Amino acid sequence: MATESGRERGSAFARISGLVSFRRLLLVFVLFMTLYIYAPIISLIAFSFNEGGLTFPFVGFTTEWYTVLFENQGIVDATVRSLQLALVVTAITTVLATSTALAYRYDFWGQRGLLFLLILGIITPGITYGVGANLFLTELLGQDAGLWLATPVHVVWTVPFAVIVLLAGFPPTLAENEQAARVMGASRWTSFRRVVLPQIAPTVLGAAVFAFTLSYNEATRGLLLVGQENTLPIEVFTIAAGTRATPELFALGTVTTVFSTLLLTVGGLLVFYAAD
Amino acid sequence: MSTRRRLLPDGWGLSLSEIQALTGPTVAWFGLFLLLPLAVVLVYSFLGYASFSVVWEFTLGSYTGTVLSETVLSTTALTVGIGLVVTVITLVFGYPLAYFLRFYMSERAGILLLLFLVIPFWTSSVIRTIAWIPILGQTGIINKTLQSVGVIGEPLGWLLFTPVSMAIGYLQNYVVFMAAPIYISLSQINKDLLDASETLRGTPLATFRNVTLPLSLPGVAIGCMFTFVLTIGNFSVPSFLSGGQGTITTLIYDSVNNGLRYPDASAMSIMLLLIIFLFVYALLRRVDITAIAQD
Repeated sequence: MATESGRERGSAFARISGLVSFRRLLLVFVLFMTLYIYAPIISLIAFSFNEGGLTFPFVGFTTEWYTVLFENQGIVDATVRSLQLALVVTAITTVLATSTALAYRYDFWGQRGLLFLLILGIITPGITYGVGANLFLTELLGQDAGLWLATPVHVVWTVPFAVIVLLAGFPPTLAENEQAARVMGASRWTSFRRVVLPQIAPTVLGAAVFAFTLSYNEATRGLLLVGQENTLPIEVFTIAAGTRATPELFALGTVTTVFSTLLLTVGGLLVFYAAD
Repeated sequence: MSTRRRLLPDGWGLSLSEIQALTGPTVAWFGLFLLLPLAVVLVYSFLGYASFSVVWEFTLGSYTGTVLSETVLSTTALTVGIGLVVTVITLVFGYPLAYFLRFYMSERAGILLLLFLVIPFWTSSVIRTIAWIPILGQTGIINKTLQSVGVIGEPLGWLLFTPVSMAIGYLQNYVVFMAAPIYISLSQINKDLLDASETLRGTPLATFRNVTLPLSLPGVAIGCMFTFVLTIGNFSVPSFLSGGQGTITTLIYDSVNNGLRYPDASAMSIMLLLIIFLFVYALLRRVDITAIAQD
């Protein structure tokens, strides 16, 4: 009996010590992966302040590349266009995605089809879709290439992600509260306005922020549609394709990253707060 | 799903017309701006081409002349090969990441770390891709550091503009998107099952092999699906981190950019889509991914 429990303790101890070292190994791995995933961002920030440009070791601190960046009219114009496009795309996406997500909570005929349609929006390669949209909008419908032609294409890209965020972020008590309101005699519209909307508002705002950053950073889908009116990522693509990389682009990447991070932190907090 | 149905008995749920009103605009938008353009691509892939313009006559020329040409076939094989290799590598790195988040962190901390790891994704993929150049280049961080320590004399040429740099770029792009669905699958595993396995004297390895791994397969399938599909459709990595040898996406872009060869671009696009659909279909047949969408 004693040896039995002794062996038991021994094996349990071995198991625990095995788990601890496994845990440590995993922890080191996860730290390494975090560093790796952040490496491009660290590289952007570090080299954007490097006097010697994109070579290592760093020679000195400078903000010269930022001055060059803000004096580049092409980039400034492209930024303004990207912001305009992202705002319009976000507005449309928010309406489409919110109504879709509200309906998607119920079982209905065609639900799987809707799911596949949304997934198709994500898995269609950007360049394939760009070619198709270009042929359809400019060749067949005869529209002139320009910034706004990218709107429908960007919306198809942002809606599926927004729907996912909304479905994940809707408060779990939403259905109960909605039903309670209906039982107490509220009309569909009243219950939506007074009960549903206030509860989902933070999640909707979070999804909107999400859609905004997705559109703002999207290059491939609009590449063949915007003509001369480059958006920021397309402008970056054009510059980088011509000269590979420049420190100026790293400064731009740093500014964009800081803004995206701030925006998404706000958006993420909203979704988190709403889900609680 | 079932809870919701119980909470909202007949009459309290949405009627069919309300469902149609809510989903209609999105379905219409996707039909008009996604399905139609893809149908147009299909039509154009059967059209002819002569001196910078499309000729409206039915021909299989783009398929027989371009898609089945030596260059396109070998590039396609390369692209699919890259997709498969990247998917495997990403799974190998992504699974332990998800496992750690699920089993060695609290729920809140796990989700927060996952969100933290998503942040770099919100910088334009073009910028994120070129950011590797001063890390991996001849005068980059890795080469200069190794040289100053004295490990190497000459800079390592195989770090940048090679399959290595492409793999590094792809993995950074997709490892979190592999880990996230696996994490969700792992989170849905009933803790009692793991306890039961331990009570029945299953070793941690046996528990993992017989309980944890099979139950996490839906997440693995979704992760693999997105990684493969997004990898072979990726445009930034082959444009900026390869040694000039492009993938099928850069070929499609070039055929439009140099000479507006739309039928060729369309035919190659159709082939790319077919590969993607086949892969997704094969995965869906093996694993029921809708399991992950249930409560």
